[in-house]
Amino acid sequence: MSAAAWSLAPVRRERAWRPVFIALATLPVLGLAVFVAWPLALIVLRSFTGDDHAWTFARYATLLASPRVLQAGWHSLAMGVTVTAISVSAGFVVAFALHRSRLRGKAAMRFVLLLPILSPSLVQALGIIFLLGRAGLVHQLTGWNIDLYGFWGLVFANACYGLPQVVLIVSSSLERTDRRYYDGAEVLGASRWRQFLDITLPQCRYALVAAAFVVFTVTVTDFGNAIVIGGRYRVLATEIYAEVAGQLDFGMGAAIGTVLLLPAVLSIAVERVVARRRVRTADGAMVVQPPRNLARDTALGLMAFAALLPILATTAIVVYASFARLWPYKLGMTLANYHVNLADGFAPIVTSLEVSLLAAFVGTALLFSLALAQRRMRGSLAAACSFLALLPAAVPGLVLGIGYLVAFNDGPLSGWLYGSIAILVACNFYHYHAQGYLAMVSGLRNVPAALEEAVDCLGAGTVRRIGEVVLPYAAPTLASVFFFLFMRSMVTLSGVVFLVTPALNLAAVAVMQLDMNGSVSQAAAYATCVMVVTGLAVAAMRLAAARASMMVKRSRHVA
Amino acid sequence: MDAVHADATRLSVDSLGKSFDGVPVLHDISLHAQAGEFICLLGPSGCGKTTLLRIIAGLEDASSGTVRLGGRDLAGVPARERGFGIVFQSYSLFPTMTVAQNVGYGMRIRGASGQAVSSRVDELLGMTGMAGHAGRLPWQLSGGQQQRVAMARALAVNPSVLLLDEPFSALDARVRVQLRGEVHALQRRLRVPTLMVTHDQEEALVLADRVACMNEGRIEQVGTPREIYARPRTRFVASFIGASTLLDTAFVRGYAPALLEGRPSGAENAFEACVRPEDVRLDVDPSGDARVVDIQFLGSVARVTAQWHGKLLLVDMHPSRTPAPGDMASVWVDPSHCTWVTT
Repeated sequence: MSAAAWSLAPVRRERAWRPVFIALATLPVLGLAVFVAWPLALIVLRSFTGDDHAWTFARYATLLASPRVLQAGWHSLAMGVTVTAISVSAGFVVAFALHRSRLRGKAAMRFVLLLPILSPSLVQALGIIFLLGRAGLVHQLTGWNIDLYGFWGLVFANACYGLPQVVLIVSSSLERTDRRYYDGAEVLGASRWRQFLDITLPQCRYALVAAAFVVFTVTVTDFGNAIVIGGRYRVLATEIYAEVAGQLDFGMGAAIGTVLLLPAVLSIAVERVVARRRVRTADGAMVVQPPRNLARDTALGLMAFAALLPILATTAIVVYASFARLWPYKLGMTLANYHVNLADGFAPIVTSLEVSLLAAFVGTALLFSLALAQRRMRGSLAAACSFLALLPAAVPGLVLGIGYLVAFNDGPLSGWLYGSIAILVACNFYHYHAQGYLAMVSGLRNVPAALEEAVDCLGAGTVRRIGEVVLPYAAPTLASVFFFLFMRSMVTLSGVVFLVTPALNLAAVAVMQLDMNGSVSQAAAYATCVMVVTGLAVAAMRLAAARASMMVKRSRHVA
Repeated sequence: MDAVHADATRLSVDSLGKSFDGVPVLHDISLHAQAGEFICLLGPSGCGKTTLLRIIAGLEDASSGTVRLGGRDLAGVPARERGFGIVFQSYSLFPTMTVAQNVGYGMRIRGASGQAVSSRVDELLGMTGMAGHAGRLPWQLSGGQQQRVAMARALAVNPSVLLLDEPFSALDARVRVQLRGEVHALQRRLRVPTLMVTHDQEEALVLADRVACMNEGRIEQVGTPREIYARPRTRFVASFIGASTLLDTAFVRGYAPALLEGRPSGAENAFEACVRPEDVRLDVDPSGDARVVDIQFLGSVARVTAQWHGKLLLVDMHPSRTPAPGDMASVWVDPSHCTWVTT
């Protein structure tokens, strides 16, 4: 080949990118349009139209006129605010103990924080019932009658569920605070307390706000705990479930769902402001090394213990109770509870595995190709794409599930979607689309631009470049997104609860059904199975991610 | 500044040692600052210079040895009570405080009145050329401006010692040179005893009254920039600072015996002759014993590399009078400028 032909090559490559780009973007964007934008639009539309398809505010008028709904709304608000206050303050203490103390046993703390993430969402509620309920361990030992069902039981269960998420969000900003801020303040004469007020708190304030919104939204829209432990304390989430699943009133469901969109939309707006205001830290931030301080560590250790003990206790007692002959009267070991009174036995776990693996596979592939395409997008196209990709973060699973009911129970896609595994896969994947997308985009930032350019200059095509440069560097992210989607699919309840059919049930829903049938010990056994499966998946994730990041680390010496 | 104050701020470090988890990183460090002196700790990355600075600041404890200020032992005095000022390479400023709040921080902690703080802040921002930026937040400033504010913040509390940890290394080359000049002028004017860590030899030579050259946790040599450059004592100092050719004793005896005169007595392998490129003359001579292999044009000089009995000899010449590669030449080394260094 002559020198002139070589020099023409870059022009050809630039053109070759376009079809690849379009191919990458089409499927993910189409999926978002069909499975997020359309169902959402239908819900909002349905809430503003009557059964005769005319525009009306009648549904909202009915809502406002219904003392039941108003009371549930008030309950949701009170419960949400209480849970948020407890979770955020306790979560901050735990995160602080993890990152600003010399406590031992941080691995154990992290393990406990992981428990609510890999257990079905009503395990905390089950655990409290086993512990403090009418037939609970505490009652058995002391004879006390604790009225658990209602506000405080619900607050307790939801706080257990919310706390790890606060720790996660606050930790990321504590981690990113450079040691030299503290060194600078120290040399300037600031006391430890001043340093806490002037550096730690300001660095965390946006994270705290973001965490508060996340917990509030999750709490208000979660109904696994509300159904199990709420008792007569009705909240909006249980109300919507009664309307839709009980009375099949999609219209009212849509109206309540639209109302539930509000706090979530608000939290996304806050999150965006927070992200923009977040202090950008350059590379090479030095990790803070807390000085020795026995008094501080003792205090933090006790507080963290107090915050984490309920989480550990509730989860542990569910596992324990699942093996008990007759909780809490006969504690002898038995596997009897694992013979569950469900028509389809453990088939739902198999279905859950199938759904979760599919959601993880398809989801990771779609997110990867969307994130790749997004890197080449500019201006309004990029903005539209990221809006669509992040939109699901503002949609509670509950609302998404109703959206799917409204969108897919009739119409062109209902034939092959409704009652199929595909709708469950889609619901679980798109429920967690935003988090996966964010992880993917930030993971792709690790791909060294210089190496990509080098490969480009050496004459590699787009496909080759993705395969040989992007993929190896993105591997750890792909692994963690895969297992994130898998885990969430295994345990999530709120979206799919509207979509399962007697013939096609999921594990998390089965746990709820067992509990509602009064087979609490069997619910515990079922939940334990789900936790074990999900726990194994987490272990595999750690292993896979460690290997992948080792490869990247090794190759980084070269790059 | 008066003599009493000068004496009270004399910093001295004696036989200081430090290990991390049993791995020694500093060995027997001793350093004595004069009043108002600017000392640079110069060395390659990982030589322990930043650890030494952090120990002096009180941010790290020494494993052995003492740090004194005006005769007072600082062991057990926490960093916040030492009254020093510090500037880091980056992350110097509190990101959530304005420029004025950053500069006034140390004074507010000391309980100064609002009026005293604001007049001092104005004074320092004026001194560092940052007047008019008082209300900005750190991320709204360029890197050079941030470091000016960091200097102002460190100086605001009248520190007894100013500590600078690679303050210029995150900056662009031009800003770095400009800021270097400003810091130099400021320090000469205020005469604050200053200790700066750097791996940039040019920075150290320009700024310092004295340079402490560090390698592998030891101070190899302390001296004025001129001494360090012209009279290096160890092979490390000779090769780390400036360019040089090192010649072993046997070689010198064979090909440049005139240089032996200055050699300290000692074992054959204990010393090497250090020859700076500007102290060598190379004359084109067909019967010479050196052959020109490479010529680098450096602007004001040209650096010639010549093959001389198996050694690569560096020679600086006027760029307009360089030989051509392949030319044979004779070598003359100025004995009065040759230094013998320990190996």
